[in-house]
Amino acid sequence: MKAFLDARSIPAGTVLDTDLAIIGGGPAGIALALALANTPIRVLLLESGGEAFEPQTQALYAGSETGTPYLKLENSRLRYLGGSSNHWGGWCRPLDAIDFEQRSWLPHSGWPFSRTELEPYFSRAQSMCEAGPFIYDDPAKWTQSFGASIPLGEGGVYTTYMQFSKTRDSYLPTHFGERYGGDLKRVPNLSVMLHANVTGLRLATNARSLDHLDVATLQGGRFTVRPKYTVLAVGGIENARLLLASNDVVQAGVGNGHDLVGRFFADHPIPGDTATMVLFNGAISNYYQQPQPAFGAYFRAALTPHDAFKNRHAVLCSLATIEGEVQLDGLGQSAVAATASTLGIDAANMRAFTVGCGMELAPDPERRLTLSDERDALGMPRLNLDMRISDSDFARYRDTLKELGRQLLAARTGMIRINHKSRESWLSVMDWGNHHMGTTRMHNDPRQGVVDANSQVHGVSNLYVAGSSVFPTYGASNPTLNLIALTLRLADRLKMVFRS
Amino acid sequence: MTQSWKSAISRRPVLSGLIAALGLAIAGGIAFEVPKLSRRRYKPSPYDDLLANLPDRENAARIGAAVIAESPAFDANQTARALVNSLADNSLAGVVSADLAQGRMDEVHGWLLPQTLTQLCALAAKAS
Repeated sequence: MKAFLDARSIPAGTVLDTDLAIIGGGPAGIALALALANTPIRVLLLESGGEAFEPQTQALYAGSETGTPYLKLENSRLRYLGGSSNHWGGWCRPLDAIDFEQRSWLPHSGWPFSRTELEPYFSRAQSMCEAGPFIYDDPAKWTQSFGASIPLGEGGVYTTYMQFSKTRDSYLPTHFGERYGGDLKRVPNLSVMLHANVTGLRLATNARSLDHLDVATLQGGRFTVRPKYTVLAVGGIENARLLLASNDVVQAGVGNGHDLVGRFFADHPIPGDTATMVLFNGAISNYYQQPQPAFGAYFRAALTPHDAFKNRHAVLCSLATIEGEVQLDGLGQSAVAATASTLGIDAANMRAFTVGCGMELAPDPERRLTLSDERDALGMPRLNLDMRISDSDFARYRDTLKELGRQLLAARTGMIRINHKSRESWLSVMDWGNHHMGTTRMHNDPRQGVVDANSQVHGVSNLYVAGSSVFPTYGASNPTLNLIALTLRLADRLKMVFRS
Repeated sequence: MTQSWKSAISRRPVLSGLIAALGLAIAGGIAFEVPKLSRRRYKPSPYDDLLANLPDRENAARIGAAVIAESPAFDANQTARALVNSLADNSLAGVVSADLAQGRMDEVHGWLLPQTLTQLCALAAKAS
């Protein structure tokens, strides 16, 4: 086992050669480095932070936010080994098939391939996330042992099952730096260098390939890495920043010939108390409200629209979770009493629950990151995020809740109240998933995407991007499992590139 | 001399029977009338035949007040005519099931309710 390198000990002016540079030691960077273990490819992984949180390094993330209120850029991610897995909630679920499809009613939708392209990689990604056996939407496995799902009438919403990453015997999700640090040290063809901040992607003069990387430390050290190939894996915000800021050869930045880098930024809004769900007989299986241990993993149910319903009603994947129990006000009690008696149902044991949400946003090119005039301690331009949510994003989720309410009544199971109507009301309960996506979107056409179907930056032969910044549409599934599957696919691509 | 037929029937059992029958009639009357007395009485309205379908008129009227508050232009007579037609050959449960199957839902202060129930609730509020 070898120790991690520290960029602070590299003499100024040094030039390091390597076959492949991975910029970023988060889930994508670590997954890629481990997937390339024991190959002839010499890999250098460059991580800005150390093995633990350091305020000066974290401060490099600061930026500004305009538009719809959003999280501070320095608070919504973590900059040390393991990246944002260090504050991960552990939720896992593969993207739905429809998430990859071009939909006529959803501008800018469509991946360059279908979900089947990722399926060979989900099992390994699941293993890396330590989320147990790959079960998900096999309801019999969960309900036979852990109680019935909520009866719903025929319609567009169904119970889906999320699985959770855990660190061995606890609820904690896998922190990739802590969990895989030892494995990284054991890989013979891999060097991990901490405190190494890449500050520039320097193109060759013809702009068709990457020539070298500028690396800096907060202590003032500056040196060069000259890789044959490079994978950018510093997250959905920093990937765009580094491409935009590397504007010495091409003024618009690397990969930005069509002004797409930084556009289509997305996160998952998670507004609270979106609805109140009443169950007439008060019966609910525990797995709807809290993750439950099962089959060596943890799982929890949510309510999500079917792909056919999404297409028929032009709704996105936004899903509903059932949270804590609530008391009804007078009107609510009357609504339940009048409805239950009309349906001939005894609601004496009725219980009500607040409903949470994982919302998908429609792709929006104006929701974007741009460089600001401010600079960080390394001289890098900071970012401004112009955040937006359209009213149609809220309206689409309301349509899904309406369908859920209809199905509950049709099954004589319960009913719901939708708690928000106006934009102001929705924004008053808004929180975010910290899932940064979309800023280097994938598309076969360079006019519509920053990277191609192989995650290679259009027009730059030896530069790739890993992570959820390449997602052209986002689904409502948490991105970590999916971005790791995509990264494992990229690893296969790189092995082929190096073989040839 | 023989006794008259009248005197052959004893008066006491006859009186006892009459009293018992009277008592039973009074008890039966009380049993029949008391629930009516304790039941909420409503002032007569043009919609009483429709509102008889509602098993819980008080709570329905509370919902109905919210319906009318959200839709001030609510036309009770037009709604009543439509409901008379839809409920002419169908039970309320059947019509509500059809509402749910066909997605005819109304949102009342956020509560999602079958359209027919919402309309009856509004009439209950108008009648109260």
